[in-house]
Amino acid sequence: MTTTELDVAIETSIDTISEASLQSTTLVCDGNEASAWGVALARPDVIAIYPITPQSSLVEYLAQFVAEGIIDAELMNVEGEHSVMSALQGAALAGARTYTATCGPGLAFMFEPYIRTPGLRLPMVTSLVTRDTLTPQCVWGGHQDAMLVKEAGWIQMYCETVQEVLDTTVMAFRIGEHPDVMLPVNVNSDGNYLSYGVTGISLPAAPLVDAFMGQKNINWHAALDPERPMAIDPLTGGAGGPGPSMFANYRKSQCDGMQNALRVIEEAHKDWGDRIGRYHSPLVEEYRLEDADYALVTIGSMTGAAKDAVDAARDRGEAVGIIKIKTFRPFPVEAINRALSKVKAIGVVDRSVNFGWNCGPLYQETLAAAQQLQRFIPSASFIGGLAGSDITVEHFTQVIEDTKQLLQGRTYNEPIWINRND
Amino acid sequence: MTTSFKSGVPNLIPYTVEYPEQVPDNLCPVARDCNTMLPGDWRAERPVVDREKCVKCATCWIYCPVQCIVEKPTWFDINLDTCKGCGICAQECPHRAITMIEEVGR
Repeated sequence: MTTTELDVAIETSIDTISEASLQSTTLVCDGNEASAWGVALARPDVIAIYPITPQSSLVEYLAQFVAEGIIDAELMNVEGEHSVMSALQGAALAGARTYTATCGPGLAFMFEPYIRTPGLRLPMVTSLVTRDTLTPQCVWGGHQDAMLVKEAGWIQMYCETVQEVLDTTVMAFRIGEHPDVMLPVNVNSDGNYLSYGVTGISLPAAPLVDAFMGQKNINWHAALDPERPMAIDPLTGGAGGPGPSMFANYRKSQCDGMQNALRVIEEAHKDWGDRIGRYHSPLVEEYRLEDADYALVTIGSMTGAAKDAVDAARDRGEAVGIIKIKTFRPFPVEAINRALSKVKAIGVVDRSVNFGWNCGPLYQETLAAAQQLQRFIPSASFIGGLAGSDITVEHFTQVIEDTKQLLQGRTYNEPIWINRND
Repeated sequence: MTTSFKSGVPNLIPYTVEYPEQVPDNLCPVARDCNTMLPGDWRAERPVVDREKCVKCATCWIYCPVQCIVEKPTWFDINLDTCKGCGICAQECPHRAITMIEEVGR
């Protein structure tokens, strides 16, 4: 469907639409199918795919949806992830709304065109069904692949539930395509736990989502278009002439787009809630934090188990809460500092490692934000859930206990490895 | 639950967003004019033909990899827009009619 046809469809649907077609549908599905439904609702024009565990069933659903006519898009089965991203760049420059999904070694193979996409300011959406990186050889979930590319210039949002995967996938298109942002977006869902975790979800009605998305305009700024001839990505930079200033201005504009995204992400989540009825925390979620002495900082699907453990601890009288990061890039410094200002100690739980600092990456980022508070916050770095291992409620109960000891003056000089003695 | 739910009147008014009147010049690197980037702009040495020695044997014309040798009435000259200063003509000239001079002050 072209943009014009979509406009006509939306216009006419307002008059002729029935009450029934505005009702949401209940589905029982896993996170990969939820991603595919999110893509279907966002009406992409071009999808290029290459399968890789644990993303494979996601692209199989996409192929099925295109074959069945649920998605009206060009589906390209290309020979590898490098070609996936390259093909999508061309399609986006021709005005197409584009989508793909990958993870782990696939993301590694995609890396060269992947890092070019944000600089071209192409607002495509790529789901990362996160997987731990090789080696040791593994095919299971972890955040190491997404954390490896955190400085590539993509917006990154981590989902907690299958429902959030669906909703965020749709919102990601609108966020990236906003003229103040114009950046590609990674919707991250934990491999295995979200990709294969089956649950009941609500599929919003297409006319409501169409209205939420509005009219698309992907290539207003840079186009492969005979009517607007231009060369894309000419040589820039160097030490002489206009190069240094041009390059610095392009880079600064990218950083500005990232910072604008914080506002646009909040706007999109609020409008989604107003129109669809479901409100997700856009940047940082505060869970039972109001009267908390200390908090866990979590990211992704582990937060579910953390909430159960915190509920149980609260029943025992522990003053503990959770600060969950949803938006990791751009890092929501203000929002996390609002949350951090309420507690006296934090235990940060990562599903990946930062080799340079011997801690988790989220731990490092959280402490970097906290220095703006100009207040010392005792902290501990926990690393768990690597390569598909589970961070259970029992594990989180121990994490709560270890974090509580920070209040009594205990210090940890090394990260605490959650699954090391499983 | 990570989410709260609120039901209300269905909102079918399409979301709109304002685009800037002009595309910002610091967004995506694009060029609307061609830069010819002639090799002459980055040459380190330039060939100079000694007209007294040149016999128009065309050896330089045959060897020049960028075909910048230009025929004149009694000698061969160099098109310095496209000459990249490789020095092959000076090396091959059987009459030693071509010398390479360092480019300075450009």
